Amino acid sequence: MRGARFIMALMRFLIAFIAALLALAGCAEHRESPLEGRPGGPYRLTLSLDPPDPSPGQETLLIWQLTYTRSGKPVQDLQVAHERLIHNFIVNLDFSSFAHIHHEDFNTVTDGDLAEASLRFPYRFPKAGHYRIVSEFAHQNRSWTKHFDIEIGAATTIHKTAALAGISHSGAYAATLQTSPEIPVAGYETNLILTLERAGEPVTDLTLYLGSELHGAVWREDGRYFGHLHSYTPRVAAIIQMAHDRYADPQTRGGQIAQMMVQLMCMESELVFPGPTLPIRYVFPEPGRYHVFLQLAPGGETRVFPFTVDVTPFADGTDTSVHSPFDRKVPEDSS
Amino acid sequence: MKARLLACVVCTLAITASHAGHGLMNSFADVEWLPDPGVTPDQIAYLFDRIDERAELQFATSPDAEITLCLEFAREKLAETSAMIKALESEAASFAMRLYGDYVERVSAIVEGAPTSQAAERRLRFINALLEHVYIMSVDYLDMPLESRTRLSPLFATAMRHYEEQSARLPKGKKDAFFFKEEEIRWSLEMTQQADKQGITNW
Repeated sequence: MRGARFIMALMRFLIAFIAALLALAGCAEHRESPLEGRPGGPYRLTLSLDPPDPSPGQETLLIWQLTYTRSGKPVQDLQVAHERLIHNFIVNLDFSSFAHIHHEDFNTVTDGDLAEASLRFPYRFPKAGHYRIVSEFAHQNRSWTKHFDIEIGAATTIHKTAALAGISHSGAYAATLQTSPEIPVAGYETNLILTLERAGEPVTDLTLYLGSELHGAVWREDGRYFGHLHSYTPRVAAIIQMAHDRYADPQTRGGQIAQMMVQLMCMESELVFPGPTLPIRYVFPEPGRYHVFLQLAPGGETRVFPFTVDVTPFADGTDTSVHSPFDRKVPEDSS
Repeated sequence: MKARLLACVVCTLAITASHAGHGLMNSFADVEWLPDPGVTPDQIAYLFDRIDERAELQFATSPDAEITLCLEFAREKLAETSAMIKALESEAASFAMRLYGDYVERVSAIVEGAPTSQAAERRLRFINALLEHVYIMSVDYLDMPLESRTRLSPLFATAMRHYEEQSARLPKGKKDAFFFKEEEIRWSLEMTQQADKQGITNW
């Protein structure tokens, strides 16, 4: 058995070695084109760059196409979610730059675009580095994300990132992020409270941006565990409450949740939190340092505020209780 | 036309995932899909595949390593099951499903036998894997032929039974963190049933 195992291991090593050599030989000459979004699944999302090997700062056209994996046909009935067909989040993996960007920000979606399920927009990668693009789309009432990794310019090493202060500045604005529990615990709910000031005064003129007072993107510092955040409105809170209570009334709960979800999705977007504070509810899946980019539109002008959040593993005695100044609002508004 | 019909079914169901992708319901949006099925149970070479799996498990260096292998093999069995159902190889599909059941049973035994200090992490890992299995197969279900896909029912039942058993042992805070995944799974399974009732497939 030991001999057989050794031969098996040797053969595996040789195959892996040859495959690695072939892959390296291929990579040395060309960037894979088009890039294939990961992970796989029933949909195939490809990304082509024009020019194919852009330099830092160079205007580059990013072209997406979405097809069914099995048939290769374009997905012609993409759903509009939060006013856009495909949401794209571009981040340098040193977390020095971030963009939340869409085809519709630059061009009208034509019938031809829909027929080909192909969307595009220009972008300048600000500096050399490793970039991760997460593209998110909805089809048949399900959402999907695909990610692409792109290296721009000379290869660089990704170092561990430093923690940011709990206060983030953009022009005259200062945003403060607090969490409950104070140290978020992996796998448990965390309440994040964002407070925004302009020149030291509380901001109360937040407007909707893409159907929400707040959009956020979160990654762990190794680029894993992407999440797309929104404000924790009373409607969302009510749905969560109902989900928590599911065992109380299993016969009617599903229908009620469905109805509320449809309302949430289909009704006109509604500004719930004009400022200065907004709640966000999130479950960080694993321990580690997370980079959080929060996007708001005070006075109708979009601003991005970066933060870091350190998440601890659960241990006996860890405080996982969640407190929020908005908790009392939920029962009143959820009906 | 099929896609439109399917979309109609989806819209009329409990669309807990309709808010998906927006922080609330994208629990499985970036789930790693199944591997290539490789050698399948309808091939003679499958015997060697089985020997290889047994040998690897024999030499697993720790319970955690054994769980890793079992979950990896379970995903392979799902891929094989899917391929066999699409190839209308019902017996081979059932065989792959039985092996899937064996692997999750083995993980369950390891989790149950673990000391308290290690059981929680292993249980969470197992639970996540089970939910991902059901999610992937229920999505794939709509791309399978009508005449053979109903054979998947025991697989869903096996995975959900283990899920219910394990999640019942989670502390409340941990269990609550799974509720969106649970809801999406329930909805996803409901979709498979509705698609069967209405004879809808993307196949």
